Amino acid sequence: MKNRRFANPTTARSPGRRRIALPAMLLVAGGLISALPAAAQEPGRVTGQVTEEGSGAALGEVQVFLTDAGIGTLTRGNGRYVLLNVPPGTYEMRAERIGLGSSTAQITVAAGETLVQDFTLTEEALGLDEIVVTGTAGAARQREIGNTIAQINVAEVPDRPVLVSDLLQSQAPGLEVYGGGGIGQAKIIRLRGQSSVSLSNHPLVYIDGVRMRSDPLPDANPPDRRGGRSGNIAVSPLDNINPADIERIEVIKGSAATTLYGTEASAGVIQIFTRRGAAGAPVWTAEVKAGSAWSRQFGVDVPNADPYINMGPWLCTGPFSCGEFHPGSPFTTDYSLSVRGGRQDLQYFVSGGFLDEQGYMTNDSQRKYNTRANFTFTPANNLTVQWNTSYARNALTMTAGQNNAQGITLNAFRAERNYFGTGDPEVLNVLMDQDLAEDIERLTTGATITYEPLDRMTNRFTIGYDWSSREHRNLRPYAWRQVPLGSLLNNTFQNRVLSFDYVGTYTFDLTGSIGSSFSWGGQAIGDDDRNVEGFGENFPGAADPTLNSAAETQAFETRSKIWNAGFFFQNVFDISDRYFITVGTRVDGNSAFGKGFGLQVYPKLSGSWIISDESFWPDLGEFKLRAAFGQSGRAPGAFDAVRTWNPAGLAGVPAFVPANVGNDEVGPEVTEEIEAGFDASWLGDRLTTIFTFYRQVTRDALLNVPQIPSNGFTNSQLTNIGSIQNQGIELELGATLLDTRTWGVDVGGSLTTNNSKVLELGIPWTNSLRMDCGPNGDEGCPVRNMRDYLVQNPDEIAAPDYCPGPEVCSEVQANASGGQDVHGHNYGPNLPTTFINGNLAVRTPGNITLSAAGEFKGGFYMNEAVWSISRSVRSHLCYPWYTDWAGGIDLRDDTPAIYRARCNRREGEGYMWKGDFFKLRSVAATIPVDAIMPERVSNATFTLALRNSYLWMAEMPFMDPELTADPPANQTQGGYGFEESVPAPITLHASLRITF
Amino acid sequence: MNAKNTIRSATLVATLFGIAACEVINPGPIQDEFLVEEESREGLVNGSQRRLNEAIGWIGYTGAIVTRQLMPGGQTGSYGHSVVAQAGHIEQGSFGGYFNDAQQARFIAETALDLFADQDVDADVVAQANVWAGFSNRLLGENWCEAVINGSGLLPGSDYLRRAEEQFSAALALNPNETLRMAATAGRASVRAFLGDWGGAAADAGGVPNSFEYVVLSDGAVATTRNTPQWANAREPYLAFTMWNTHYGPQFDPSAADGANRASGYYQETGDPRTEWFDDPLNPWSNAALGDYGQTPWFNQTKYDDPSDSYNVASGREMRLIEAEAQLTNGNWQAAMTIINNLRATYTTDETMLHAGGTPLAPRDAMSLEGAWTYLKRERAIELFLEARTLGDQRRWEENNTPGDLELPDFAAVEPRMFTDPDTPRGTIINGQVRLCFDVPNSERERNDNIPTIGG
Repeated sequence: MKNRRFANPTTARSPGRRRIALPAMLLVAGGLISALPAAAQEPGRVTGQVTEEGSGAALGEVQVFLTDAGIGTLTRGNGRYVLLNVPPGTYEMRAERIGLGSSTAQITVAAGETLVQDFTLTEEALGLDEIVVTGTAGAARQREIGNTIAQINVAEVPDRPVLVSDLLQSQAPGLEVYGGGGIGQAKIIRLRGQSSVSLSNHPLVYIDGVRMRSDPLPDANPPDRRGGRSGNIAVSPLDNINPADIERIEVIKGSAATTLYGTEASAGVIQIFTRRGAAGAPVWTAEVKAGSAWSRQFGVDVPNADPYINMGPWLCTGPFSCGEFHPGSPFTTDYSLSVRGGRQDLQYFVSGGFLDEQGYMTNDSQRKYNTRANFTFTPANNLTVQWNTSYARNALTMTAGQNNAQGITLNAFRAERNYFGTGDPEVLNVLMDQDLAEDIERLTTGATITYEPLDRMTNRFTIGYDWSSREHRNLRPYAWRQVPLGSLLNNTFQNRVLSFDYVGTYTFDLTGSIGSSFSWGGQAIGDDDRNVEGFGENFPGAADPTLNSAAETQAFETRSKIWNAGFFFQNVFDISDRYFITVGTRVDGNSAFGKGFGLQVYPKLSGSWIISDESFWPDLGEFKLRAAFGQSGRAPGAFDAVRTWNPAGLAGVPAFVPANVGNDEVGPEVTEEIEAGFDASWLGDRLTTIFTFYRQVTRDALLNVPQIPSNGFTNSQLTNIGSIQNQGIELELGATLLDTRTWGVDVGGSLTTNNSKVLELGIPWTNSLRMDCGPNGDEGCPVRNMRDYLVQNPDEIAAPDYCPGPEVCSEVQANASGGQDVHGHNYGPNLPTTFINGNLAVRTPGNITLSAAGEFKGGFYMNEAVWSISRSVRSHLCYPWYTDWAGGIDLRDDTPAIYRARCNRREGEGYMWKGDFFKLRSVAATIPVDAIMPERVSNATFTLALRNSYLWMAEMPFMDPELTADPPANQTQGGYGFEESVPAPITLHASLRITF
Repeated sequence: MNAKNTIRSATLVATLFGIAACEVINPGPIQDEFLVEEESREGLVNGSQRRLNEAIGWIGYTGAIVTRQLMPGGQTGSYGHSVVAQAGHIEQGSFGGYFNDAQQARFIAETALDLFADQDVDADVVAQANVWAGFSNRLLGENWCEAVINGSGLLPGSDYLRRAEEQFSAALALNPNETLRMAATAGRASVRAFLGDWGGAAADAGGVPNSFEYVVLSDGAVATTRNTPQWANAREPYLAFTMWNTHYGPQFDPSAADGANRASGYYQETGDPRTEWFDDPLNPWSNAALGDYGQTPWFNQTKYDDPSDSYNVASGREMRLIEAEAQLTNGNWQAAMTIINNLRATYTTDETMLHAGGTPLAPRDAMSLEGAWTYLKRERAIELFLEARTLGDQRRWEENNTPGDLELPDFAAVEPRMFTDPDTPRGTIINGQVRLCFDVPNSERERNDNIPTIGG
């Protein structure tokens, strides 16, 4: 949702305070920066302050510049700015910031004079003249665009978290972030739900125009040969970006807006823009954050049961006490330092960060380092070179968890029915002896050259390189119980994304009132995966081993590369600055397409009408009507087009076994979207309404079509069949209830729906998706439908009466998956269909801001059977009904039917729940503390933020609904579910941010 | 816009787009067209052996559960079985993975034979392809009640076996090397026996000496090709089954602390080295828990003690038992017992709690045709333990109404609810009839229009 929080208010610094020594790291970074050139002397200067209308708060990060003169800067935290080296003359001067209206003034600078020019900016509810670049050719004003683009101004997020994925959470309608509880663990990110059944639903991510790896880095598992799975986590490249470096994020959610990105973009696009330099003296920003975390109860609240499903001994010891905040050792410390400055022709932004995080599971930790250098070089008035580079390194250690036979969570959950035959914590504690570590490096660098050979023509060329490396080491040491001589896995995954992007735009007038902006361009993206794995076992002793130490070793390697390239044309017709029509098309080729497929064409058409600019419109505020249609796609995998055999040796002799049956005609699945809605502001911008209806249909959907086993090829083959629909609304409301110099109250909220449906499968047999929600099989089902037994007599003291029974649910087809029970009752979707967000911000005297945000998700079902009942594991839910809860599984005679279903190992059913829940995402207080800072500090803010502190669940008796253990490696469906994991903790962070 | 800029821009776009036109060759998988090359022949034929390894491992393991030669330990996840499968029940349409592996083993070998038909290929390579095709078809025919071949409709299960017989015969017609000739002969003997051609079976069996063994290799270094029964019960970490309360292992004793009378069972009584088991004080229990009983005492087999142990698919010892069974079918039970006891005498016994050891394995003393059949059935079960053969044996004996007793252990004494549930009988239910075989799985039924889905 558009952020209605207050624009980063600051207060004037109180003079006369003594200096405070800065941390050593600031000095080191300062030394580095001092090598950069200082501003040169020029004839005149302009200075002043920018404040907010109404509150009078000083505004930092405001762009102040002389139009057409190439001279500008950003305001400091106290709202002040200085433009140096201004040649004498008359200029138009403008101040603008995202979310605020711009202000323009005519100034005349005399030689050697210092001119004072202040600006007052008003919060602009709709921002129709704000510039966005995502989904457009070049850049465009919001008023020109026929679809919604959400902008997140990071400076306005009061409790900025340490991870970008957390930063995105609840920030825009249709943007969903869930899953991931472990330190460093990636979250699932979805835009307008899931429109693909077989391919990645993760949006593409660009940073400063450079395509970066979007999907999480895959987790690593040892060859199954040696005992259990690793059960480690997948890490998101997104979370290796320092949020402190980000200026804003643009989010486009569907194919109507992503057409120009072509193949691979139908899951949406997230564009991240990092901060840039500004002319003037160096401005330093330093932030120190510290925090702690503790676990919410996630077990069942029954007598004699550990409320943490037997994990209490590992969660409730040491500095963190379960269920309450322990002010002892902070679990997170986060330091960020940045500086920006430069001359008019060379500006810089350089930053560094260090995050040290200790998880509340004993072996969880991460130490993350980030550096960034962004340079803007303007060698001529019509030529700009932007070069941005970032490097991040993250050293992670993990506790072996999840569905891992040698992990702590699985064995603790199962108690004496585990792989040790005992639930004794002292015995299970040996599992903490294994080393599970990842060393992650990320480098993203890219240069954008913008050349304007003519007044009306712009050329922009970007070349980018994004490199990810993840070394995973899993050491089960010598004398390890299940592998007595020990084992070691070393897996190195690397991904390289090389991108080229050219866009040209020529603007001209067709008539006096009709303007035209014609754009053309092309992109090429190369995506290269390399995975090398070494595994060794049987070490000579207890020394710290390498693979060379092992008596037996194995090695594995896989590689794949895909190139996608295409070109586009687009024209925007501007009629009287009120009516805008955009037409365009994109043509793509992809190395993964079948030889018989050819090229894919994606058209787009959109329009917007600023009704409020019409003379007949009463003076109620701004109103924009918009509608858009567009297509984009997803490509198949590197090997899907070709009939292949896998080389698979046997005992030292080569062997080939069938792999893909191949499909020479395979092409992209194409998602087509129509969206329409309006943006409106009322009551002098005090009330805003943004409404969008969207409908996506994915045609030629790529489904994994199972093959007939007796024909020899048993792997499923991606085939373009079927179609899937996603449809919903996004309604966003914001209101400023009070806005005076001393008090302010903003409230906001959004309602989002998303309903998916399989329109057509195109497969002649049933059960291909195993959803079976009706007599027609999967057609008509939501994507990821939940189907399970229904106990029809839950409270009766009798045997469970299940649906389907022959007389009650005869119309329901059996799920005849191999060897599984028939699960007949159709519950509904596994993915939330309704989202309600709300936020509140209160500004008090002294510019203290108190804010809160919460999120409701509903309309879905989850299966919460984390206990392996069929293995005779004793479920905590069943404790009240066991005759001997301490050891047996026999049930009391008066056990109700629902518990007979849940607790009988032959059945183990009845764990389907309505998943609806509400979570208080954040409660934060932001307090200006300039008054206690030394003179040089222009702005200082102290923030206290509590995240995920309250959880309400409609039906589920335990666990966090957002636990979903790990995003699937290929980011396909990613439903809500459980594995043997512990949920994300409640966190409390305090941070101090100063600018000087 | 001037012409020069237009040309520059167009050139750049064309260059970028041209990248898409470049063919990207990814390393790793082999495209179909390369299979015809001479260098690929050995790998192609060996691919069949690889899949045969995977199929035999799992079918042998599960078959031993169904035939009551292994007692499940309650493991339901990795290397375990569902609760009903632990009870010995094969749900209709289940175990698609086993079917896929066995079908693929057949398909690879038969694809090789098709490719070789138009080429000048070494006779031994062609014979090897025929031998793997034959053993793949035998595996399918012995373990599945009905046949499906290359997307066909449902065929009698014996069609697999007739196909195998032809392939073994084709191998022999190529006059291959001695090992392949023996393997083809022994393979043909076994399928002829299953088909009831006892004259042909005995004639083939007579040409194979006791010492001959033909194996499908395992590779302990690779997850999918390691010895499955060994791994399922290895302590890393799966302890999925037990020899406890089977015919060979320690018998159930409710009065003992762990429910096991170690000084009991066939192995303790005879010292027969083929049925050896051991226990481990560090791992006294199978993991998980068996139904209402709880954790079962863990006793492991020793036939496979390394993940690289191979599986026999043919042996001279089996040939002797074919000769013995041929005698029984003719009513010559004394002659059959002589063959059986001669075979037993080739083994030297282990020392056990009840047996001194170091002597030839004691002869069986049958008193009747029925008794001789009982011993024949037991000898085949022991000799072919965990080789994916016993389920088929028990089916053909049942369907042919052969005399004798299978001497099934009393699993119900340990967990009555699991092992006496009338809804989950031992074997599968096809057309209302309980049969000891796997059913054509849903993975085939749902995709092959020529055969009905279950209930369809």
